[in-house]
Amino acid sequence: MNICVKNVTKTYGAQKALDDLSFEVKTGEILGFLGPNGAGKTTTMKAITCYITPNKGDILLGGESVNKSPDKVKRKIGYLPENNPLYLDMPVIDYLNFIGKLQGVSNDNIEAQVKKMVKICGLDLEKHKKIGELSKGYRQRVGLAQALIHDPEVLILDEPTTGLDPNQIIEIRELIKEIGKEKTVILSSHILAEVEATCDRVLIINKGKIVADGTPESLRKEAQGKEILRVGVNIKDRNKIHKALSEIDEVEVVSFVDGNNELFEVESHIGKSSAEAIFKMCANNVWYLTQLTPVEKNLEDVFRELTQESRSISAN
Amino acid sequence: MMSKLVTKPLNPFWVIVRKEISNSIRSWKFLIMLALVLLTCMGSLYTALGDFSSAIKGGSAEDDFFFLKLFTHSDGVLPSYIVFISFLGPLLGISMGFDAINSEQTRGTLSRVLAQPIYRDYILNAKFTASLILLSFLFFALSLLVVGFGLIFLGIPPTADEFMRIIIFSLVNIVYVAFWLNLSILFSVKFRQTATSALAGISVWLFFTIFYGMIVNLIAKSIAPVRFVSEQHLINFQRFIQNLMRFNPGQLFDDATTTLLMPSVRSLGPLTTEQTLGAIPSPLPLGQSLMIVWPQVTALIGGTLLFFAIAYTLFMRREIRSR
Repeated sequence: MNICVKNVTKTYGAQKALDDLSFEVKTGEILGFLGPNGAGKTTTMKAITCYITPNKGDILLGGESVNKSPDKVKRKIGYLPENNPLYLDMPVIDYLNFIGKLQGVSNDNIEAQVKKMVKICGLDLEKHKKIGELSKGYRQRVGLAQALIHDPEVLILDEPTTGLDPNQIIEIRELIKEIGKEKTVILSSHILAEVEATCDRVLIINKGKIVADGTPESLRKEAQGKEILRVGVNIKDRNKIHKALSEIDEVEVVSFVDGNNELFEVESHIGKSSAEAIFKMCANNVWYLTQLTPVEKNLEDVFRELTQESRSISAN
Repeated sequence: MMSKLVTKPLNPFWVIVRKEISNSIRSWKFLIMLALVLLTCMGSLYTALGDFSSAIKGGSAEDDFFFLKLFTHSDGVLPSYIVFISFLGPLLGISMGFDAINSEQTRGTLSRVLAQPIYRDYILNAKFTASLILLSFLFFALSLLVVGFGLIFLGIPPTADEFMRIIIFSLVNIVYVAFWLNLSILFSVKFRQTATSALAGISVWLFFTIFYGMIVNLIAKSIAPVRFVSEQHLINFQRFIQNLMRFNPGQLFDDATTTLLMPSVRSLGPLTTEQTLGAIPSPLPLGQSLMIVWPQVTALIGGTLLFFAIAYTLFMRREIRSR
């Protein structure tokens, strides 16, 4: 089921949380939603799940509008909210039963669905315990199970791995990837590595607007811009090397690397590569070239650049 | 292929009601209040039965109503059943409603439930309905327990009139406690902190239980007519003070239950000598007693609905954040 967000604006008093936001998520895609605190990620997710009503614009899920048919839309969505609020005094099975019935799962199917969710989310040993007695990782699994109990076509997960230890993060990530094979998933996170590892596509939002949209690979490439090489030359006279590098035609900027006398960062002109020229220069001067590696921007670099400068990139 | 025998899912409203009833029954808060009410009512019943012979000496119209005496008689050591309910009923209502909405909002579970495909007002309505169902079971069970013990002790069954009065008395109990329940639900919608809403409910109860009577007395003393005034003036003054007292829900409850359980009560206001001339000093039939207390019961129901309407409006218009 595809999701279409069209020109959505949401204001809280004088503050604009979402500013004319538009994007699409195709059926079966896992979309990663990134942004700093207060960017509008949770507000967007709440608007999609009909928890809040946008001031302007519309959101369509499989053609159904959140403004006109919120009940129909809610039945198609499984939502895991931020902080995963749960009824801590209810046993796991009773809680899943309760949510399943609220979602309209028939009395005949509810038991089977609960058993299925318990199995999928690995809650078999904990199913009779009260939720308050479970660890954070297991509570997150309960949250996931309640989001899936009615077999929705769309899954909205708001920071599903917050507060988990590395082992639990990997388990939840694997679970999401498995589930994402059959469903459309929107996942928000602060852990960029998790988004890179789990998601097909990334949307970076800042101050209510989209600043980047594309696969993690394409965003990195697009943000890369000019070639930057890290060059290591085993010669004591740094200034001599600096001068020689600066004189190469393809090179735009040469800078020293702090803390290492042998290393330089060489930025080439746009569209040009200076790797071959640097290699030939060292060979001609019989200088020992210890390092010649490209400096690639990772998603964190892209995120920081975009959310600090409010530039935007679209790699579609 | 869909089986034709697939049963319809339960209406989400009743799903929430069942969950609320289940939670309440398992909560320490309810169990403590239940134990308190049970103990005090059984205690007052025990002392009433112990002194029952003095209650049915004979010579007055009310002495024929043995079972009603079980609710109204006291040996002076413990207050009667009716007094205990008047005192503890509001506390029971407040304890069941003070954290209805704000505790869910604090925990974040309100946003979780609202994300399901249910109407928003189901939550508020279900909280009230669940508490009302529990209270109904409680008060009917208590009344029937008293009747049961009375049967064992007295050896004779209640008359139809007595039984109907006891049933209607139980209904009035439920209406009275529902009044305080709705007030506390209103406070739970208004105030985010459960402690604040509990304090607000108890403060209102304390005000009406202790201070309101004093304030009305002060007003009465300050505007009391001088010695030589007409009868009509005196009656008007009495009615004015009585009407002031009727702003106290406890007073309405006392008026209603006293009239129901004491059939010889013919009026709740002042009577002139002319009005009592020719009156037959016999107990009133149930219908006539109901006519006397109908304004009190209506006022209690009206107050309950008013608080519910305010709570409903506030809840439906609120922008609910997750925490």
